[in-house]
Amino acid sequence: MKTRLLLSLLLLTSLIGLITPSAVEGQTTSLSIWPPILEVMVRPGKSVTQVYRLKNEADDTRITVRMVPFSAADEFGHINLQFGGRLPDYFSLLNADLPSLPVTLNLKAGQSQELVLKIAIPAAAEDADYPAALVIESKTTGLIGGSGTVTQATIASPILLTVSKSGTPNRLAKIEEFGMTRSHLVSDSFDPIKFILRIKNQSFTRLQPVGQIKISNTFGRPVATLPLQGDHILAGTIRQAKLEGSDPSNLAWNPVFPLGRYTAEAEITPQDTTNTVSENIVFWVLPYKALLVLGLLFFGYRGLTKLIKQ
Amino acid sequence: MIRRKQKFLGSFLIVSLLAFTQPQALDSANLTSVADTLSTSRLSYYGSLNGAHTVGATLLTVNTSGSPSTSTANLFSGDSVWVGDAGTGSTYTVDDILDTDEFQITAGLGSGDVEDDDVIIASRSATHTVTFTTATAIPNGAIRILIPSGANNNNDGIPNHDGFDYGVDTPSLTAPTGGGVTSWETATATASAGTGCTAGNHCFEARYNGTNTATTALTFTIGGANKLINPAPGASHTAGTADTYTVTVQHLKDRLQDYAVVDSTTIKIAVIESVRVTATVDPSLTFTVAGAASGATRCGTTTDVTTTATAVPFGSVSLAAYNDASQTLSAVTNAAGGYAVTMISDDQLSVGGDHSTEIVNTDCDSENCTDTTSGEWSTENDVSGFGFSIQNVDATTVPFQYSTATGNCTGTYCARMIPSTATASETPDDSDTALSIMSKTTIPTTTEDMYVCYRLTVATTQTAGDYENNITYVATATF
Repeated sequence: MKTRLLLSLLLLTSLIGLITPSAVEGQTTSLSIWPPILEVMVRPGKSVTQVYRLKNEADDTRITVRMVPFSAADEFGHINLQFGGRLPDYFSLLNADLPSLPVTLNLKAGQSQELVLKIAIPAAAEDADYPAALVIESKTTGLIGGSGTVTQATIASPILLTVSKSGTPNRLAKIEEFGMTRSHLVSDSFDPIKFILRIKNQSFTRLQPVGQIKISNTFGRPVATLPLQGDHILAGTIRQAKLEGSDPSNLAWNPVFPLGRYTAEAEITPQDTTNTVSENIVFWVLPYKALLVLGLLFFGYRGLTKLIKQ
Repeated sequence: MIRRKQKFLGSFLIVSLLAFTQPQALDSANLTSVADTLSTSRLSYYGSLNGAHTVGATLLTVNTSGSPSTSTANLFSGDSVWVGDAGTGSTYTVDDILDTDEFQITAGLGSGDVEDDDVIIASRSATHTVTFTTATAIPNGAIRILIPSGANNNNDGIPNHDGFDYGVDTPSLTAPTGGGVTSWETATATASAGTGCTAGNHCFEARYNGTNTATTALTFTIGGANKLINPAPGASHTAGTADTYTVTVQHLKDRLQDYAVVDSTTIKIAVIESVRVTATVDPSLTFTVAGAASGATRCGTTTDVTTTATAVPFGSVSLAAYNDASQTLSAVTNAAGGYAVTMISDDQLSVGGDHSTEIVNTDCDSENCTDTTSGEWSTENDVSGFGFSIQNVDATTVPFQYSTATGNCTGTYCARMIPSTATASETPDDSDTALSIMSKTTIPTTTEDMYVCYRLTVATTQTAGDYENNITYVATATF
């Protein structure tokens, strides 16, 4: 009798264990992708292939690979993925063991997966940009009981795809804004002199601006050249220029005690063209903060001596 | 008569013998331990553009004949190169060496620097540290160093293929010290064919007062702020084989004896291309989401929930109380433009994710926070709401932090709504754009990390049920 009871309890416990397994979820999701960004220019009727290497650097996971169009999210090169957006049927995987995009596969901890992406442009395709990203989404599982949030780690590698019949599309840039970051055109001699330079791409394909800001002093003598980084600007968008290897907020000139009237000329040429555009601003640099302090000290001293005399 | 002749011959013999037994001391000897150590023995680069290039071009092709440098050998990433002609020219930075006749620069060529055969110059300047030991004690003498110059245009700041260029500015000099003399005068430099300096060598001289110790070790430094410019490859140069030049070190007599050379030693110095060591580091982007055990201190509070990489399971929540949880986000890339991580949810928390019965996004203590505006959320815990905050570890840019007192925040727990793609079921739950929660616009020096802190409050009147939503974090390289 006792044995039967024991066996029954054991069976019941086992069944409960089977029907309500504890959730086994990875503590960490970590995905790496190579290359992180791809620039491609293709002629209509031609195709290119690019091998992507994906690595799972954490716990076992399941991923979905898809192509998603994107647009510029801001003026700093960030992308805005348009999930659900339409994309021409130019992209496919050449991996023999994988079905067509989107594709879902398992990645064990430490495992790498190569994805051979083919970009084939039809002969009738128009000259244009087709910004898209290879998006890798980690698979998530629903919550088992209780309230909470399901989080998903996604990694995306932007593809700056330009279709051009000639290979050298006509690229036009416009200086949308060039000025000082301060509203007034007088800077203090002890502060860095910060500029803002916004460049608009007025062509149908992305461009990389080549250029610099040249600064001349009161006598027209060049005193500094600030080389600009040739960041991509998508067709019809604006991008804030920055110095090579720097942040856009650091588009600044840091001279030793500048004084007087200066002229800054921003000169931009879209790469592989001669379509140069430029714009000038005039600004003054004076040690007005120091003069203010000296003035206050002077008048304070005079007031104090008057008081003492009285 | 014979006796007089014998006397004369005898005297002559004696004088001759005396001359042999007491010879005159020789005036000239060699300086010893002579060496000229260059701070860099890299050849300068002097090449030229092969064919006309387009304005803005960053890929440069060099001529493989007709210039001292006939390949990209001895050019390196990061080198400054001057490209142009007699009329105009600009300085560019080498980005990468592609092959033997092509290299890339970081910014495109300017309009005056694109013609066929425009020269490409990367000058390498070196400090010469000349050490030697004197051989003779000379009163009020001088030390002179002769360094070979180019035959033509040898002081214009442009490398010569047959000797060292003097530079535009006089090289900085440091005269020897010590050596037993009373004092050393300021050393002088004279370009080849200048006053008192024979063509073919640049002359560097240090005079002294008093008499030097006969054998004393001295150091004469040529270079400092201004340096001599190393030669470009010679006419018959073979890559990988050094070009040699002869340096002369002289010990001179005093002014009254026209600084005549007493001791002189020549040595050879060699200049050669540096070896380019290359290794390819693949660019990549890595993004990590990690869970955290409960009890951790995040955003100034102690978390109540253990999270994983894929779930923030609040479970059965405490009513009219803060329920806190967190995850760690990390990102790193070696892409030139840096990276950005964005956050977006599919909707507010709703029962079973039905997008109907919801726990609304928090509007903070004073009903003044949104998904783009931060607000203080540290007192009101009896109204249902879901929001988040950020504790930055070492990310370069984050939109806000829990402890930063700005705008509507006092800095105890600064929070926001989580942006949502859902359409306007409730203002401001209205098709938000993804929020950039960590980013950097240049290559990070290390993996950047931050904590995302989730906070949930549930009113006692909230409809019972399991509420959930989805949050997606997207990491991308910046273009």
